[in-house]
Amino acid sequence: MKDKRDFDILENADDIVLDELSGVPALAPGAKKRILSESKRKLYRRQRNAGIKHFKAADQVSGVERYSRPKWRIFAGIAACFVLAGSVTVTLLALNRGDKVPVKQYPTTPAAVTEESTTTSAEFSTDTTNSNEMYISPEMYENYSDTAVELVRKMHELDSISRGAVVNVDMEDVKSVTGTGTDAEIMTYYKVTDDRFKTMDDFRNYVADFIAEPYYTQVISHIIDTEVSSYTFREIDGQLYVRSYKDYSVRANDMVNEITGTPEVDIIDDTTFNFKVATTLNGEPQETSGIAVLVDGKWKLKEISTGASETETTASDEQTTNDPESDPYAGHFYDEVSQRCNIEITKSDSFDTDYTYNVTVRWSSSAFDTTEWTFSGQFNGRGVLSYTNCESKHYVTTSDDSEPQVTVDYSNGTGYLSVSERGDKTGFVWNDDNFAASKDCFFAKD
Amino acid sequence: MTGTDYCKLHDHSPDKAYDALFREYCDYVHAIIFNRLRSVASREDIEECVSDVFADVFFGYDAEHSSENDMKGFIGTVAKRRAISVFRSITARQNHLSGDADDEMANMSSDTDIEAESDKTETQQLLMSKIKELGEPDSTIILQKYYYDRSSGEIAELLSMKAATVRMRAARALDKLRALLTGSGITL
Repeated sequence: MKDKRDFDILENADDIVLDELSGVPALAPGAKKRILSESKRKLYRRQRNAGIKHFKAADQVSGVERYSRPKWRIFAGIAACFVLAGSVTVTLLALNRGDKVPVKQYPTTPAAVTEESTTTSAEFSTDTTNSNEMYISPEMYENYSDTAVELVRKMHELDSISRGAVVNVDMEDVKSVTGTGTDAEIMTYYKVTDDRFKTMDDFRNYVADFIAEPYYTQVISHIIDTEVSSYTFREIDGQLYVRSYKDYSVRANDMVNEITGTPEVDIIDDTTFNFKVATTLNGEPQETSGIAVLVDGKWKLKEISTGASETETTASDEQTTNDPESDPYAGHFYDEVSQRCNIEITKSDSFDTDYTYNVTVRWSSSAFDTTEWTFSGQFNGRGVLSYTNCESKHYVTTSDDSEPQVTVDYSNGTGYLSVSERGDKTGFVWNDDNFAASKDCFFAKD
Repeated sequence: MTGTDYCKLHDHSPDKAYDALFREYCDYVHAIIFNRLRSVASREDIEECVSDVFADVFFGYDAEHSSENDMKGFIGTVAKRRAISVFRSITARQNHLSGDADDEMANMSSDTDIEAESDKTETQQLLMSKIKELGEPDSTIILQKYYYDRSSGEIAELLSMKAATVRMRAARALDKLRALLTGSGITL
């Protein structure tokens, strides 16, 4: 055997030989990692072209700035509230009911996640990205985003707790404590009966669960530091007590924080990401930004701050949400094959809660003969909308000015609409189980 | 991995599904692509093609029609088609650059010789069986060195051996393989 050329005989091998060859470890782990990363990058690019947007760290970094303008910090603010008597309070009603801070649910659909208007189309359209970049799939991005929402939600809850709200108490078990310094009046405390914390240590653990040092120390000191006479919690006879609302001047329910937007996430590395999310304080637009760090396998807040929103994000967000151009699926699509069929995809009225799209397919055999299919459903992670509720109607018009005769061909029809590719184009393919010709259609953006 | 398994995993976590699918079929896809493009494409081209195959599979696998069958057949088909497409693209480019009309005509006029193809398949299978007879790690070293064209250093890293050991084993294994093939009446 002279050299490697003798092994050319193995080229164009059959399946048996290919199977045996595949058993030979031919790729180093580094090469495999590189190929997988490249595969995902290509996948995301296709999904993006198909309207299923993807995210990569570099894009997000370019679109999200560190939140650095002057702002008050929520929980530094809490401390100030304690010092300034009357700035914070809690309601008896809230104590009795153990009310939760109302927090809007954060929508996690692709449409909601993809408000990265700062990511330019030029960035998306170029394909010259360094393969060493960390690419973030939609799901990964969503996980970071969900984590940000959860951390902000917990912080809002702590905000309320620090004012004595949303804590279950036994109102029959009351202790009176005389304050010192500027708070020299008699303060009333109720015994905490909350399952989350029965002792100071429980409360510390509760806070430490989502706030990392050194921010933890800063926050906790404002709530239970014994040096602060007006602290919210106090241990009396080994039991945990919370200060009565009567000692505050502002109703807790008048300090309502809500998450109203979709977090923008800036992934720094495996253990750190920044986020920014639109919130409201008593209905006033705010922006909350923070840094999350991974500590012992758990994401915690390294810092968080909230300030008045610099832009009218609410209005523009609504406009963006309702704009079909900003939605990965909604719009009007035209069948390039038959050239007589089109699809209109719109968000349903309940889209904000169930992400349902309404789809109408119209096939015009002639000016007087049209068939219409209507169905609805949700796109899954692979861009496939399966349906079981299709109604097919046949419209026949006998003259220009007559009302069409409508015949319902069938109801509860099944099939699917799926993102697909034809050459360089990305659009939809349709497969209705009752209409065989649907398989031949390819719908491109009109 | 069956289509159903993949879809279940994908519904739970697309990224995990991609990773699992890649782990299971990466070597298989690479074997197919390399086998087809070995003589015309660079190592980088081949890796690029493998990544294209997985992007095709990730994007194009129809969850609605997933089955309990192993996805190997589907992935193998995608890989073969992609390999053929890339092969044609590369050879067309090379032919275009060479401008050798005679070569082009010769290729166009060549018909498939079924008998020769059959002989080739038999030879391939015999060669593989003889390589397997060498036992590990020699069979892997032989294929890595003479089929995959890896250097002794690369093979050593892959097999956690010393490069000198790889060189020595490769030489001995090659002699042994030559003898085995001669004994079977095969001369390459």
